[in-house]
Amino acid sequence: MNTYEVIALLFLFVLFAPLLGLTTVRLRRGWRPVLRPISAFRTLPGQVGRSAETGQTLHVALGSGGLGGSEAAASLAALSALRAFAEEGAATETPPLVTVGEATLLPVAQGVVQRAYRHQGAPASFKMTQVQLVAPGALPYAAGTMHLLKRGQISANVMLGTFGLEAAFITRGGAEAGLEQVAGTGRLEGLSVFYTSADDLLIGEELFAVGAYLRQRIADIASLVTQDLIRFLLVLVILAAVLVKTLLG
Amino acid sequence: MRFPRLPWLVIFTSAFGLVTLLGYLSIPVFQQIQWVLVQWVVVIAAFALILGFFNVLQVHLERVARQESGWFYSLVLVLTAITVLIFGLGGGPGDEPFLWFFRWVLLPLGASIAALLVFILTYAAYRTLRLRRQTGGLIFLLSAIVILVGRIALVGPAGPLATWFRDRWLAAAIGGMRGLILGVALGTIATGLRLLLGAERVQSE
Repeated sequence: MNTYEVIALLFLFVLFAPLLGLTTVRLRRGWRPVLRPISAFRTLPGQVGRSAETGQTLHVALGSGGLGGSEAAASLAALSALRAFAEEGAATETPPLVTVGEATLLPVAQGVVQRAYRHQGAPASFKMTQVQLVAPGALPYAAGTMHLLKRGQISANVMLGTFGLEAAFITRGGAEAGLEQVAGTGRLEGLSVFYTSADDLLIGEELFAVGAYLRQRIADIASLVTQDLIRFLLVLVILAAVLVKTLLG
Repeated sequence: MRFPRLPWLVIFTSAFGLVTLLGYLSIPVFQQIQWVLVQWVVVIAAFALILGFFNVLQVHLERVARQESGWFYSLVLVLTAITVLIFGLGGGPGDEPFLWFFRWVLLPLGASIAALLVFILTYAAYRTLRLRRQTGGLIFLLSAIVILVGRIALVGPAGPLATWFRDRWLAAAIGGMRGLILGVALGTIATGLRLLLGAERVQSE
C-alpha cells in the first residue's frame, strides 16, 4: 500500500466510524430514515412463505466468493439475507436449500441455518445437507446448480453474493424450470448476466442493503445511511476536483 | 465471583481484524502478525475444503441411497472423487496419474463448460429483447450494436466513425461502471467496519 492509499483508508475509517456511531445513536433514539423502495426487496420477503404454501423449497445460492478474499463482503451480505430466510424457514418448517461454490462459505452458512433452527427451538430438525457445496469453483458450481434447479421441487431461485458470467448457467436452469429468479451481486459481469435473465435485481451496493431491508437491524440501517452520506461527500469531492482541473488546467 | 459471559468469537474477530488492518500501515510488528494470521487463514481454508469434500460425498451418497432422479451421475461423482483422492494421497499432487485427471478430464471439462457460455449468454440476451420490450432492453440492444460494429474493421469513413461512436459510448458506460464500483467499495468498507466493531455477527448468535 502506498501513502495515498493509507491516507484514503484512514480518512474513510476516521470519517466512516464516527458517522456510523452517530447514525446508530440517532436510530436508537427513534429516528427512522425513509428507505427508497427497491423492487427486489418487495419480492424477497414473501419467498419462504410461498415455498411453504406450495410445499416446495426455496433455493438460495450464495455464489463462489468465499470469506477469505476481496469478495468476502458480498458473501457476508448474502449470509445476512440467508439468516432472514433461514429464520422464517425454520418457523414455517420449510427451510431453504442453500448452495455455495466456495468451501469457506459452507461451515458459516451451515452455522447460520443451524442457529435459525435453535432460535425456533427445533435444533434437531437441522440437516447438514440443507447447505451444499456444489463444487469449489465458479463454473462447476454454476453447472451443478443449474442441474439442481431443473430436478424439480424448487419454488424460487434467489442468487445473492459473488457471481460472474457463469451465473448464466444458473439463470438458464431456473428459466427452464419456470422459477421466479431474484439476484444480486457486486460484480459487473454477474450484473450483466442477471440484467438479462433475473426477474428482480439488486445492483451493486443494493446487495449490501439486504440486512437493512429484510431484517430492519439498526446496525444495518445505520450502515446504509452512512454509506449514502459518504457517497454524497465523494461525489462533491469528485465534482470539485473536475471543476478545479477544468478551470486551472 | 461470576464473570460476565463475553462474546468471545466477536472479540477475537474484531481483534484479529484490527491487527490485520494495522499490518497494512507498514508497522513491522503488525506486519509480522498479519503474515502469521494470513497463513492461518490458508490452513483454515484447506480444512474447509476437506469439510466441503465430505459434504459433497454426503449429499450424493444420499441421492444414490434414495435412488433419486440422476442418482447414477451422483454415483459416478462419488467413485471419481474417491479414486482421485486415492491417487492424490498415494502419489502426491505432483504425481503423473493424479495430474492425468487434471490434464485430460478436469481441464477439458472446464473448457467445454466455458465454451457453452457464449451460446447461453446469446440466448439470454435474445430472451431479454423478446420478453422485455422496455427502455432498458432497447439501450441494451443499442449498446451491443454500437460495441460490435465499433469492433469491426470497416472500410472508408465508416470505420473511424464507428470507432468514434463506440469510444463515446464506452466512456459513458465506464462512468456508470465507476459509480457502481464506488458503491460496492463503500458497501465493502461498511461491512468490514461493522465486522471490526462487532456489529456484524455472522459467526455467532
